Amino acid sequence: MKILLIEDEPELLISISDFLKIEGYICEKAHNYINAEDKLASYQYDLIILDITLPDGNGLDLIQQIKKVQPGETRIIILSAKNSLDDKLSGLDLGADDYLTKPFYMAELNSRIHAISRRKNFNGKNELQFNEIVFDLREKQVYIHNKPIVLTKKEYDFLSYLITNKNRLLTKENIAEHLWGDYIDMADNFDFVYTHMKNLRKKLEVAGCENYLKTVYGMGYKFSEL
Amino acid sequence: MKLLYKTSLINIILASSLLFVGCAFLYILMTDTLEAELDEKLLVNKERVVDQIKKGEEITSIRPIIKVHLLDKKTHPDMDIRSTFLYDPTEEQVEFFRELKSIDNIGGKSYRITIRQVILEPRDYVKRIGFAIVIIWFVLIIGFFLINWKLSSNIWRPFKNNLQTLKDYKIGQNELVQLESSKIKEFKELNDVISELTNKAASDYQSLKEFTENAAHEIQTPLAIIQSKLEEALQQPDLTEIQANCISSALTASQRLGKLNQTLLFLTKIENKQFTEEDTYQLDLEIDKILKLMKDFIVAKNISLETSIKTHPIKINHLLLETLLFNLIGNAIKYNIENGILKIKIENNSLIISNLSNEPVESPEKMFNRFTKADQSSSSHGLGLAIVQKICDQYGYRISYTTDEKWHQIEIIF
Repeated sequence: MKILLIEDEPELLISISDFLKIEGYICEKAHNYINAEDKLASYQYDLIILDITLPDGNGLDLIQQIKKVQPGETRIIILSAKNSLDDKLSGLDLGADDYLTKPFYMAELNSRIHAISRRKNFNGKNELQFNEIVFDLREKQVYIHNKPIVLTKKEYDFLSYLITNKNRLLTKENIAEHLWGDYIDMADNFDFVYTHMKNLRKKLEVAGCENYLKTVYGMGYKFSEL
Repeated sequence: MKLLYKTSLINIILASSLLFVGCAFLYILMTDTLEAELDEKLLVNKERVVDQIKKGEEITSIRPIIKVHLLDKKTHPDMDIRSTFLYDPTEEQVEFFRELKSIDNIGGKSYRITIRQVILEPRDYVKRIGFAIVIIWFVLIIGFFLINWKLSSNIWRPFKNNLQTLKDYKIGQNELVQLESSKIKEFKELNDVISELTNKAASDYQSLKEFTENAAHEIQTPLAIIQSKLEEALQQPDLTEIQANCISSALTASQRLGKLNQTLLFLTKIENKQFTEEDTYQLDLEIDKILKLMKDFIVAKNISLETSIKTHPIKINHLLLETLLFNLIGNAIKYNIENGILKIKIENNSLIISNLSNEPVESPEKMFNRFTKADQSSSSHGLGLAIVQKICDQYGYRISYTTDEKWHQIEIIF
């Protein structure tokens, strides 16, 4: 998948593009409006990650530009420091697919990219697989060794988040925030992430799944090959 | 009281009192004039009688109008005019007369001549004057009414329309105030001042809005960099436990800072009344929605839920309603005890949310202040109830917080 990353903050540009490369995407960088316009005119991208506050232009205008010059299937994720409802709504109205408020977890960005590429490939292969674990994303069903297992909605989201971000150390906060969003502020600790994790681990074990889920120093989890 | 009514009332009172004074003045004036006329007439008649006596003609008395009496002895001439009541045999009733009594010496003899004339009764003309005045008074009132009606539909119309425009104007809206122009100098001046004021307020508001958003942007961007770098560091292989924990703590702190910043921004936006869109929502359905989303947290603490909610429509901005319920119910879960109770009740026009707690809050009245926490060590930012308070302020809801040994209770009266 070919991604154009438009972000004016150099440090963030490097961090995000490094991360995307590690995740196996082809990533090109644009650090301002003009630069982005040039690239959009010359190349075709599958996904554009766009910071809407650029020094030399409004990112929202760029969305219209993208819709004009990039035919068909280009998807857009907006990054914004403004948690402004107006921007969010007008961004989504203009045709953006998702909206992330800074600061965000890289794993969260990754999960959003995956969700979008899945939607894009809706008619094609619609599966997420990790060795013996197979997700049927349309049916929201997980198979282990080709046998279906019963997961709650939270467990399903938990497992898909772990697999989407495999080989990454995910902190409990990161996972909790992905699963419960802003509601996580209502919890006084992250112990119930542990509870959900314990249930998930048990179900996987019963189904004969290898133990890919590792606890790292009690602060987070990592899903990786044995 | 309307300005028009006020001025009309003053006009009517003034006109009525003027008419009354005029009436009295007219009465005095007429009485005086009639009396003077009468006296003149009496004198002339007396002269006629004297002339006739001088000519040696016999004078017949016509009672009670003329009476001539020859005196026995010569008396000094004298004259006196006065008013008096007398019985008039012709009209067969007591009448009011003007009477001239004089003693004249004619041809060496003294005569007492009495001349009388009926005075026009004041009752008659007072009635007529009164009638005329009442008619004038009615015409005046109708005139005032018509003038006011005309004034209010013509001259005051732009003023009234502009007042409505201003009532409907919300400072957050994008377009400027469009006022209807008027030819009246005072209204024109008022319009100019209002336009200037609202334009100034709108531009101040806009720059404040931009400032808070820009400030947030400036803070959020470095935070995003910090977070991305810490995440990167966390993914390095061969991290020791100490290093990993340090990075993880820093990551958590940067997240907290980001949230605090967002929350402060949100609070500022509420204060700036930037959430103006309103619709009617069912309070009970919204509570159900929030409870569903919070189910995991309620279950995790094994809290039992006691609800008594019924349909209650509420006109409010949706995001603010969600925030209000989210903060109140969230607090009641967060500060609840293990195996505690959460009660939600809608009755009459109020929403009551209460939870069990281990200890009473020391100063409940301070709970709505910014950065006030029930427990200073808690990771919350202490802005939740401040936001609730601001939302209540915006819609004029009354909120109260009560606490005792066991229960914490928040009541909102809509």
